[in-house]
Amino acid sequence: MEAIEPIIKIRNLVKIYHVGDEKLRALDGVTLDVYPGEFLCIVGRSGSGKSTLLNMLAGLEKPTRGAIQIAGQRLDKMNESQLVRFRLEHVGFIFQQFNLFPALTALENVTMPLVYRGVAPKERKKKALTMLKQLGLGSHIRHKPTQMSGGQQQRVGIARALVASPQIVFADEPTGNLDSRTSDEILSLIKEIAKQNGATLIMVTHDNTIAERADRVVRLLDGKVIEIIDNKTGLREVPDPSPKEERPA
Amino acid sequence: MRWTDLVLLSAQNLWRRKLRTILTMVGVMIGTASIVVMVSMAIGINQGNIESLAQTGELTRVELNSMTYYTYSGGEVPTITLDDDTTVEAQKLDDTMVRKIAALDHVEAVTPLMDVWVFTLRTGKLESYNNPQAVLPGSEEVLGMEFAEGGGFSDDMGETVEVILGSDTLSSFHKKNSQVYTDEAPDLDWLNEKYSLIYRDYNDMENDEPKEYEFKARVVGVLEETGGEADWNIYCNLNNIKTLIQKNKSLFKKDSELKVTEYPRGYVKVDDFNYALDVQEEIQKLGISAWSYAQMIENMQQQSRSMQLMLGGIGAIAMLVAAISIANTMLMSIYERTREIGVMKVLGCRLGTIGAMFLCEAAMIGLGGGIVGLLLSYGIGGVVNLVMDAYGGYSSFRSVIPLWLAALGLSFATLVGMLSGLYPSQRAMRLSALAAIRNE
Repeated sequence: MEAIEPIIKIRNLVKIYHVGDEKLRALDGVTLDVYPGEFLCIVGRSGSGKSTLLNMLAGLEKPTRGAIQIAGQRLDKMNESQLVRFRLEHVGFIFQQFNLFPALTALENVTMPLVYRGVAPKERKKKALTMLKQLGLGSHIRHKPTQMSGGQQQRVGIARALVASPQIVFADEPTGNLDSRTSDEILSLIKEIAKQNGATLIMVTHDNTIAERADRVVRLLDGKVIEIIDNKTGLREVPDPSPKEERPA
Repeated sequence: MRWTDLVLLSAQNLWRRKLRTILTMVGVMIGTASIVVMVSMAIGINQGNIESLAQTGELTRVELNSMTYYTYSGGEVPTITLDDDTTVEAQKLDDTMVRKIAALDHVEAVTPLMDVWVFTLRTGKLESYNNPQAVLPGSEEVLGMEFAEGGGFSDDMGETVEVILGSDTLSSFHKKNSQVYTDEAPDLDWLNEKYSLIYRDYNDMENDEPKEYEFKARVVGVLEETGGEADWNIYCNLNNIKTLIQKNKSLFKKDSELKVTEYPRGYVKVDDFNYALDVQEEIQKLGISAWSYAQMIENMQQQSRSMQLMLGGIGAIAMLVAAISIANTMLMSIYERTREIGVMKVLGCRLGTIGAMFLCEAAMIGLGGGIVGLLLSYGIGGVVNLVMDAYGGYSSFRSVIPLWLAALGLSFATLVGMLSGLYPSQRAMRLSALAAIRNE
């Protein structure tokens, strides 16, 4: 591969949930590098740990062991305030459930990340409008989420995730609640806009047709990476199953 | 986040749940109104008391009492105890002392006062048995006199005694030995009747009747009704009385109460009611016992303060209930908005901002309820005053809402809102972002 510095380094990541007296290893020593600007898909059956991995990368969950370094910062060593700040500066998030603010219009929803950043009203409105037009929602800016279709709502969600030009965009089954035709559309939009913004896109899905359109696909099983496929070169990599003592620099 | 956005978002969130917001605000409204109305009544009662005193013009007056006048020489010298528990020897209230007192700061005028109860005033067959007092010309202002007819004393030093009649003394003129008393004043042309001061010598009895001496008198003024003690007084010109006593030394020398070298009492007018207590203390230091309504008012104000506290405390119970309902509303709202709060966290909204938003919402409920509560208080106060004006008569039971009370009511309502929102906002901040976006 090219000699580019990875934007995300994951080393030997372990997450153990305690369910009653039982220990559940949701992640069992994941080591992975993600490069700037790439579109990475994390696939696997439900319960494979893919959502847990994504949540951890977004700083929503603490790892039990191991290290995550994103854009030079160690996420596993941050407290909640620092994580929030980190997300504010680096991360956009697209949800399966869209999670739009129900009381706000499409335009207002898209401006929220900018509101949190303290951007002036005029500027944030301009940015949000540009974003919505790009996503073909120019005529729906005054609509409330309940007045829009699922596809439209997710487009608002995409606009909201990308409006602040984050370096990294996380998407958790973004098409999971959409029909296949709309799914295709939405996926294309996410890809396109992420490319335009130069953002790294990390998507969790169990849909193999989506995974085919990613640059690389990481397959998880029982909390372990079982294969990494590079769709451009067709190379298939199976990582060493026991790299447990490795630590990042 | 900009604070304008914060306020706007909070307002928007409240507006989304209009009914609940309004119901919670009603609680605060009742709490605020009950505190403000209660305290306003306490203030109103106090102010009514002070006003009724002020109407008599007696608020800026300090009363002097000589402690030497009625004691006989050779007796123990009386002392006056000051505020700081030191004592001073009592001094004579004579002309020198009057000048000393007149020279004190904030003293506008001083008049000595002599009780000339040995005299009664007669016109024709009618006589008033009200006790006359003698004061100096120029003391009209000290005593707060306002004239219905005529005017004040002249500078005449002659022995015809000038007299000013208090409004209620007119009805005190009756036929001698009459058994029939009426409240009606006889129909006289008060300024132009012929008057005489009668002195009765009980040491010189004829047929069980004391011998009467008659001296010329002249009414120069009749006073307006003031509601104060002046209404019942007959004032004589002290200069005329002095001349009269000196010209009839042999007659009056038996009467030890008629001294011309010192006075039993006196009045001081201070320029500002707030200095009355200071002046009173300064006069005491000179050896003259002094008293003023200011002292009474100070006691009254202390009473009023404790009454305000007590009534305000009763009102505060309603506020406490309102506070609990704010906390409840906020907790409900946070529970409902769990997902929203989680999404905010995922989008990078700072924890402090989330906390501040909920605090702001709670404060706005407090402020909103406070504003309406204050308006309600003005309404209730207005009704109370109307009713009191219509039926109260002499009652000084009124509602007065000074600016400070309005400001205090609003700030208190806002503060209660914020305090009630403190715990809910902490809860909102602590919500796990993950759990929030996971729940379906």
